[in-house]
Amino acid sequence: MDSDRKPTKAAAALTREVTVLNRYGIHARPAALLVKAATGFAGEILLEKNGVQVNAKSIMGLLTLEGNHGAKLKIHAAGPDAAAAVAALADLFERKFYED
Amino acid sequence: MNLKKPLTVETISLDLQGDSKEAILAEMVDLLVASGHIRDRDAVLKAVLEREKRMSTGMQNGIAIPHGKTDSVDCLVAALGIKRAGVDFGALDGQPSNIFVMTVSPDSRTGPHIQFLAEISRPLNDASVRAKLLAATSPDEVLHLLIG
Repeated sequence: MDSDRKPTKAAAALTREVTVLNRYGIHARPAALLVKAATGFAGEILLEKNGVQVNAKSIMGLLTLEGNHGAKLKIHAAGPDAAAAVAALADLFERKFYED
Repeated sequence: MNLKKPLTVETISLDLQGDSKEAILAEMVDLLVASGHIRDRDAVLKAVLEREKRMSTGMQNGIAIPHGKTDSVDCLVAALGIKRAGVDFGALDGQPSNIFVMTVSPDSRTGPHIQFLAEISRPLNDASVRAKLLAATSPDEVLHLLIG
């Protein structure tokens, strides 16, 4: 499932695993929060679930992941601000997107 | 797929008349009333309007997904409306919204909403599908584009 990933990108990218902790999962509001956070960074940011990767700057893309409560996702970020991007997105997951 | 059952030709409008967010939402709730699954129209409209106040459901690329939770429904119901000229929905990307997918689900159940969003987002995430939806001439055509 990772066969088409470019080696150069993989080498430069950071990855962190996160879990969907809020009860309602990644519905519209959490997706919007993720997009707002992600668009603040220059580099490419992807979210992955079960081998499927989507652009973290696209709401409809995020919603296709079906990020239900308990789902395990990976954040991939590339570019000069990759570390800050991963930290910002992971923080939203950890804070349950400011909901239950 | 069962999750696409909520969307039927009766709950699709190709020509929404409203020129404001409030008018569009009321029109779409009326579409759901037409599905026969809503017990209390005003309760549903209130739930949808209140949700909208917290954060706009206007997303990106012309898509808005207004929704609400209320015990006026027993299962997830959905409607799709098109307004080719677009309406300012306070969307995340600042663009007018022209494709609206409304869902109303019971207070108690959370899973079906996320599943439905995922199912409907896959075709809507495709620019060519969005263009075809905006050019569709019948509700059947819309259903076919989304459900296949």
